[in-house]
Amino acid sequence: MFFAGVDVGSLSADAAIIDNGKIVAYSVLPTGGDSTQAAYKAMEVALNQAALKLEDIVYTVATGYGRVNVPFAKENITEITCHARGAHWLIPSTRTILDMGGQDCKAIRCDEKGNVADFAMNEKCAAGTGRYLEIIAEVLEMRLEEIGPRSLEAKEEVGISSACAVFARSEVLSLVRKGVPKNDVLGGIHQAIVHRVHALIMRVGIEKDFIITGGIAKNIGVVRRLEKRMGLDAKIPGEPQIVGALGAALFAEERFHSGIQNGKGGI
Amino acid sequence: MNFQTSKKTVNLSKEIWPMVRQYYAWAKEKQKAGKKVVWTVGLGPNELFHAFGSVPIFLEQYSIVMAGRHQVTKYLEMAENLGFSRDSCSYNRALIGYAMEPDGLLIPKPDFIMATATPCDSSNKSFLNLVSRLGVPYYHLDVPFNRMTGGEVETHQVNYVENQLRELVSFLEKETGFPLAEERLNEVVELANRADELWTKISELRKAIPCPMTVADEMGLAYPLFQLPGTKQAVEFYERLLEEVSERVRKGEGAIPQERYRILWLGPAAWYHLRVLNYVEDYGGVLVKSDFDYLIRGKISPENPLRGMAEKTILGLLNGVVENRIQLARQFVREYRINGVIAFSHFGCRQYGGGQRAVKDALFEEFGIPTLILEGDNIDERNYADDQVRSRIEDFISLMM
Repeated sequence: MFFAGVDVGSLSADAAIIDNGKIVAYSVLPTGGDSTQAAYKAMEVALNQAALKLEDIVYTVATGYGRVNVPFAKENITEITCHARGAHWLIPSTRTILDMGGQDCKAIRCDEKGNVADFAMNEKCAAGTGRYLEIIAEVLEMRLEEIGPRSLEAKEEVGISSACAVFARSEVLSLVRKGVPKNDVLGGIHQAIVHRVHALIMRVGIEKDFIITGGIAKNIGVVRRLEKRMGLDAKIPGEPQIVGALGAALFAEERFHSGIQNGKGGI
Repeated sequence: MNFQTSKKTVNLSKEIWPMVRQYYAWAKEKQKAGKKVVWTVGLGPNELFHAFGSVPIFLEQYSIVMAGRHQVTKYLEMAENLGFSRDSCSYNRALIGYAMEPDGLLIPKPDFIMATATPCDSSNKSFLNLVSRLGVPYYHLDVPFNRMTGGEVETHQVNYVENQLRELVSFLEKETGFPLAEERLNEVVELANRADELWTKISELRKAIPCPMTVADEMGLAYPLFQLPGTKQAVEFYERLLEEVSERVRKGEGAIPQERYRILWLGPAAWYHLRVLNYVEDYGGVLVKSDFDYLIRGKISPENPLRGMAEKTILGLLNGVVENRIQLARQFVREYRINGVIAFSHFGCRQYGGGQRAVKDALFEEFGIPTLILEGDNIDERNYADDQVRSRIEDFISLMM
């Protein structure tokens, strides 16, 4: 039986389909302006991958900030809960999760069963998130994949004082104009992000194993610096962007089975 | 954004807004009839003004009213246009706005101003701005930081505040033109104590399961405690409230059909969107109690009213070491059988915001219950993101499952 989870985030819409305790398909697509459309698209891509139709999915759970706009989902569950579930399923030793998404960043601490024990999120500011790094990559005319590795080649990390994504853009521009090497600028930018998210993690308290998920988990510059600062190694799932969708799919399976037990015919 | 007020469980909650409106209208009339209007803060000795027959207007409460009517932004912007930062406390910015256009308000202009250093020094600074704009006499009551715990106060601190209150009495005698009538003061103190006693009894009843009166009610119903201490009106109102709440307890009437989670609320609320106080109800949660009323609580010694008022002011919840807040929260968790805590952290507030982590950690350590620290603004609706708040609350509920 196939179960699906859809995570409609601010920048990406992700879907995951599971069957019998295995991930059979997943997708990561840009959300764009219409989150309902994005949810359908993400689902369609995943369905095609597994050669399935929407009718083949017995139960779908939606998560992410656009979770209420997913018509084909039977239920929606918040992203914190889904992330903890997904991360714990992938890496059962997970206790602390840092999810760095498109426009928000969250630290989650969970117990040995994957239940959320505490969480903290960034408020009213996009610094330390994917959008921030996208802006920096644009200003430096680099590809997003490029900036993490390049930041590690910095000879000297420039101090970036702006915590604000918009002001950081001007700060970076003026540094580049002054002739500061791009790698050094990137070093400073990455360090600034690490300072911010570290404070967030400390709010929930750190416990091993420490997992990083979300798009920024793919940025080696952030990951290495964070590991250094915290004095421990981070574990990163093979596809860090689908952890929320995966958690939602796992909940879909669980809800379906508990529905049968309650005599609700699976729904 | 579709801002909404909260759903109430207690009928008397409906009387609060008319009561506030009447008070403001009454204040304007009284001023025309020669009584003095004093703009003040809620956490000072408001009993004293009532004893003098003058009319105290608790300005933060006025901001609460204006936020509820979605009319405060104009005043915030006026202060911002002068150069006051949007990151500063919105209550302080609003005050400055009021003083820039004092004729268009629901409240009368002040004949004099009295402010205290509690809960924060910055309110004194913004009151100074008002004083210079409005050109009225000002009395500043300097309340020292309470270093003691367990309801203790240091004698030298009480002496210090009591001496100032004597000075304030002379100030009021000069401004109103009347000497302090001791009989009247004793009467006011007795009424204030009775209102406080009634409030304690009502709070006791709220320990019942299901909860007969939620925080959505409490936020409004605490109004007479702050604005009208020492008046017959407050006593009579709380007598009726006690009756209604007792009746609800007898009949076993709660806010929602089935209580799954009993939640403690720390701090004030987002006054422009009080519906937040009902969000937990969608998941079987009830906000059973807040610590908001403890901003200024307690009995005043009838033998020595000025000294009693000094003690009450020093003992205000935000005027002291964080250990006092921890102790109070602990007591609530035990007595109200609390499963989780939501602490509302007002942007720019060093009093409530500072220390919430300590409260959270202490409660987790002792009871293993989670605390959600919800950041937001009490009156500035421009900073409000409803989706975020909803998600946080939903996630928080899952911590209690």
